[in-house]
Amino acid sequence: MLNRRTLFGSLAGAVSALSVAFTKAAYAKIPAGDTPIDIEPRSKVGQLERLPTLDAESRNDFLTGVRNWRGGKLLSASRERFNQILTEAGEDPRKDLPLERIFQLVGNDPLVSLEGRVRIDAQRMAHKTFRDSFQNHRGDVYLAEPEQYDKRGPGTLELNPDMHIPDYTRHEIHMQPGGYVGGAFAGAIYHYGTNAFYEARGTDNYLDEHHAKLASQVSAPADGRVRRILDMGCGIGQLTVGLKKQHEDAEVWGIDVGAPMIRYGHMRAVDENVDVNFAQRLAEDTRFPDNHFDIVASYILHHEMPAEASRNVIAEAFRVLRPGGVYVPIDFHTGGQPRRPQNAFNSYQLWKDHRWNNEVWRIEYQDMDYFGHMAKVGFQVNRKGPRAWFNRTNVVATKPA
Amino acid sequence: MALKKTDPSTYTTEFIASDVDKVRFYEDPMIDNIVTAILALGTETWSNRRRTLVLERLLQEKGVTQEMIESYMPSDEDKAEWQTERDRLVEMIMGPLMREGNLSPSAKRQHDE
Repeated sequence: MLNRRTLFGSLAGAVSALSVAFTKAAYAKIPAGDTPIDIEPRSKVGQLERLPTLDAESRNDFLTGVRNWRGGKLLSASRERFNQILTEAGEDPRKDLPLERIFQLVGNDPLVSLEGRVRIDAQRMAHKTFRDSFQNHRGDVYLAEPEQYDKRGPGTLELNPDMHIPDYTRHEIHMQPGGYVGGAFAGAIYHYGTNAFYEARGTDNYLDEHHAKLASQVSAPADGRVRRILDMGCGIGQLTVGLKKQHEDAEVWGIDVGAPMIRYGHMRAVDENVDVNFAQRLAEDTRFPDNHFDIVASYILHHEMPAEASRNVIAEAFRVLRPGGVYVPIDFHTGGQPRRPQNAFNSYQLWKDHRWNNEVWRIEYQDMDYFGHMAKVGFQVNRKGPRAWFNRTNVVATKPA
Repeated sequence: MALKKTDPSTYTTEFIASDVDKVRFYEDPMIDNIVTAILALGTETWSNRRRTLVLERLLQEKGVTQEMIESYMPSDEDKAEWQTERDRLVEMIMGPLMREGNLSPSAKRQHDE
């Protein structure tokens, strides 16, 4: 097993072997002689470093094509077959049905089964491709790479190895191997995995365009004063960096429970020379002072936590916001928000997403009184804020001045 | 559950493993396995095809054109070597489809009966 000393021993040898080709030239604002060794043997596409090998890149390319086919032609055919089966059984496919009845009717259909099988396989194979390509191809060097960035700026990184990690955060969300807290390459796997997800949905994100757009849709307080911003559950910090670019003079923090995630995010921010701060902390226990931030934002955080934790996060956002500050949690539909038709097919798909894509808390999030709780802790809730997550209307909650 | 402390070299900690590898969508779980295998085969096929495209483009830059590749006439030695390789692939893919196993997993050996 690799340990820190092995990594640095390997790194010393690897530095000379990897040659200048792996060292980027674009560090204008970083002092000369202090340039980190950026392991980037195959250059970049946009801001995304190419995967370590051509084979890994090609496998991911194929699987992205499969995702695209699955989400288009196969999903459409599957839906048609699903509805046909229900109709022939005397059910109205426009209405919802109990899951037991749905499984009884469609459980053995080859086409409907194929859609479920392919969705899982494409995701699992892609994740395995990412992990193996880093782990098996100069894995020691890739593991050591963040070490060089941990104490480097601009921006800071705070890691808390002794902190309590709640059980709900330990799941392999989206089937990601090791999840966000248990995989040494969690940041990279998440980055390449979500990039493929966006690409298959027709959203180019090689330059974090998606997150830049989201950041531009995060409302500022009515008085226009933005000195400090907090991104809760920031993952690899794509929104965090987007918010900093949107508010250059503000002090911006990204916090997440997953150390491998924020280490990767910090590394990217340093590479981009963006001055943001990352800390391994919980969104429900940020440890920031009362009335500290002008904006608190998050992106697809709440549906990855149980309702109780979600309520605690809302209360914490209220505590750390200054009067007049705004809370903008961008996420899936939840209690009362407009949702797509609740018919049998969508219920079936939601179940598969929850159970097999390991969206452990998504149904609980969907059913909770999200907006009611925001009002209960004191927020003024505007449920028709700027459009954000795939053009869905987003909530903006203001702490009364 | 008893949780392990954070690994100081990677800052990782214990996670709760998904059981997704146990799900089967078809009545016969072997069909699930075959679909997975086909997807894996497609992934490797495209990986090899894409590498060939890269090689052809690089060769083109070195003066080896598409026409030269298309009109390349294999030598007798090439033919013999490639035919062996081709037949190995044919057997590997098509051979299992001819299998006519009819023993249940609990079947005894014939000479034990």
